[in-house]
Amino acid sequence: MPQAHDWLTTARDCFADDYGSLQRGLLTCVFAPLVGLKRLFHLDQMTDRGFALLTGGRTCPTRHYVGGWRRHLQWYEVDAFCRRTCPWELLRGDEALVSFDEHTLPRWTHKYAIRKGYVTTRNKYMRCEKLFYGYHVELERYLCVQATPGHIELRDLAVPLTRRVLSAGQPRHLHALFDAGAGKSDADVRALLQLAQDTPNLTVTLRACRYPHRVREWKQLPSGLFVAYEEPGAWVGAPPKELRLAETTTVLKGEGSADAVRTIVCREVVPGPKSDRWHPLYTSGTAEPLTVLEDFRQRQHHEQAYRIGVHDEFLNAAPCGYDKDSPDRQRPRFHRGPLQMIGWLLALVYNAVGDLGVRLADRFHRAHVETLRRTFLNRPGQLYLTPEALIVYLDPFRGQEELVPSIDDVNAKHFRIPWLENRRLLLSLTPGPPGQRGGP
Amino acid sequence: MATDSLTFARWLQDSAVPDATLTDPQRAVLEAAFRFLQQSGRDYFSRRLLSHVLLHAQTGIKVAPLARLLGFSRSAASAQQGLSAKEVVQATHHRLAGRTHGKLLPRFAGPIAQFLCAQPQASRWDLLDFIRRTWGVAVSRMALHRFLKKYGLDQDSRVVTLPLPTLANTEPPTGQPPSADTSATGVLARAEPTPVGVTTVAPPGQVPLPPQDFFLPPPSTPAPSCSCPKPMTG
Repeated sequence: MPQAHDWLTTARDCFADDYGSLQRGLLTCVFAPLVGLKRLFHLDQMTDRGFALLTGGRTCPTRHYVGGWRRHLQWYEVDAFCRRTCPWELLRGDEALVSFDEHTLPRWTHKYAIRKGYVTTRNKYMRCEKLFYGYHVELERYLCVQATPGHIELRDLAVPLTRRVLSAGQPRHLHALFDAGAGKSDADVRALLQLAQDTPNLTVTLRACRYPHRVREWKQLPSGLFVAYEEPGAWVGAPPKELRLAETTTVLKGEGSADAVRTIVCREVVPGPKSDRWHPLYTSGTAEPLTVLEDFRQRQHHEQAYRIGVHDEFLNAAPCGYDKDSPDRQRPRFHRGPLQMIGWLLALVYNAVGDLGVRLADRFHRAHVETLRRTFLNRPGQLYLTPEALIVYLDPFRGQEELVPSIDDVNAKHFRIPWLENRRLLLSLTPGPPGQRGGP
Repeated sequence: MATDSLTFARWLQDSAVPDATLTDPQRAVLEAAFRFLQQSGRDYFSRRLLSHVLLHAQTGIKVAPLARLLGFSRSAASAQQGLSAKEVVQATHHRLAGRTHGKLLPRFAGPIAQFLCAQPQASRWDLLDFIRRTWGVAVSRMALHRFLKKYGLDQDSRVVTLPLPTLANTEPPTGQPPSADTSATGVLARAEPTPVGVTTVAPPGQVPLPPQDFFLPPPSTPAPSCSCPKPMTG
């Protein structure tokens, strides 16, 4: 709650709140995915008093009110909000490993001819919109966001997003990771590597596209160039996997051998009749091939964050970006504001839940949003209202003692609820067994 | 000796401290601590002295396992971490003299509110007894008075229990932001803790109503979507 209130304070500085709907709209968009409300129209059935208080009122908000607020968000206001709430402190003056990737939201509209893009999970080219995120893969936190129509690709935003992280985040050293979409053409690869060359504190690693002529070259590398490594199998007792790594250079189109790009070729040996898998990586760094590969593999945390976003925070239910009031439905205008705002709020919620998990026991450190929601957030309880405070008294549940430090911290912040006559928020747990003493 | 080692292993096991994770120096320190407890008993003062030593001995054992080993809560052990030896001795003398000890934490407010709502006739002594039984802390009447006043619990009749969703007023939500004077303050003036009927009627002129074009127009789809299942014709 205190964190959401900080976002609300920031939003008040960024948004023109002509209709007084900012508070309810923003808080509802923050807490609805947190408590597991899948779609905005599910607000119609919501009667929970605690949810009403969380979202800045005494009764639950209506979907029309919240929907109206988020549909009218202006892109420049949303950009200002995103800029001010980006957690740049996570990488300021530090060595950061940041992944840049897109999340595609498929759309099924037939009325509006919005731009199409490739949706990997459906393996088809269809109408969609995209959210591009920067993600700190070591700390597992989102850093920045950009919403675009479906035809925009990672290669279009790779350089601007990297520049944004460099200028706003001011890391001591940035290692940027990209999937193959950032280097579909050799010109895209060169643009990224040129940026790395011009910026002393930047290293770029991107997966190379497996174009047939390139794969043929890599397959013809002498076997003596490969160094074999073993890593554990897919399950306990499984035979170990064999990896062969080689370091070579690749000459990009229209360039000479002097400008060849350092390439780490990873050959994953697949036992049986299937052919081996090849994972080539372009990199501007000078680290050992195995180190480059291990760094790049951490990008998987970013993909996992998208899965958590989709399944636990209902990211695909973000409002559409195309303008339904466009005069020509064959060429609808694109409104970046609503899509980017909800995408960023979900990222902030993801970061906040991650912070909560870190404060709990070790087994919750990388817990999914759904796990923490089921274990700690969606708990029944009783609300007591006094002239000075709102006391939230949670019913007993297993593992509640894990929450004690977090609850003590929230209580120590003396957070007051502006929409409840500035009453102080107090969180309480049902006392445990007598052996668990409360004070020192 | 075999019995001792078995008991020491059991002590670690009961406290969920895996023996395999301990280094040799840590194990030696814990064995000494175990022998100290065997020698002097597991009363509060022995555990408190031992916790002070272990928390400041830079053994590398985290606070939570140490708290489990000594039977303190994690938060209590964390609080003990910041105390000097002098403060520990002073607190021990204070407790030995029978004076009040412990602290009323903000998270105690929930159970206290529940107690006050369930037993509105209870005296302050009953409440002090409830606190001592529940959390094992003995606080003075003045400390309790300040605590109750701080959180608005000093007058039982002013504590209002908000109803559960099933019992809540089922009026359709209006979605308007709440106004200041439609608060529960009026309700709080009631003598008994009763459910709050919260209304959200905004006073005219305070919050402008959005114009009609603020909301989406009704769906203009002329017919059911093609993705709808076709009706059965028999």
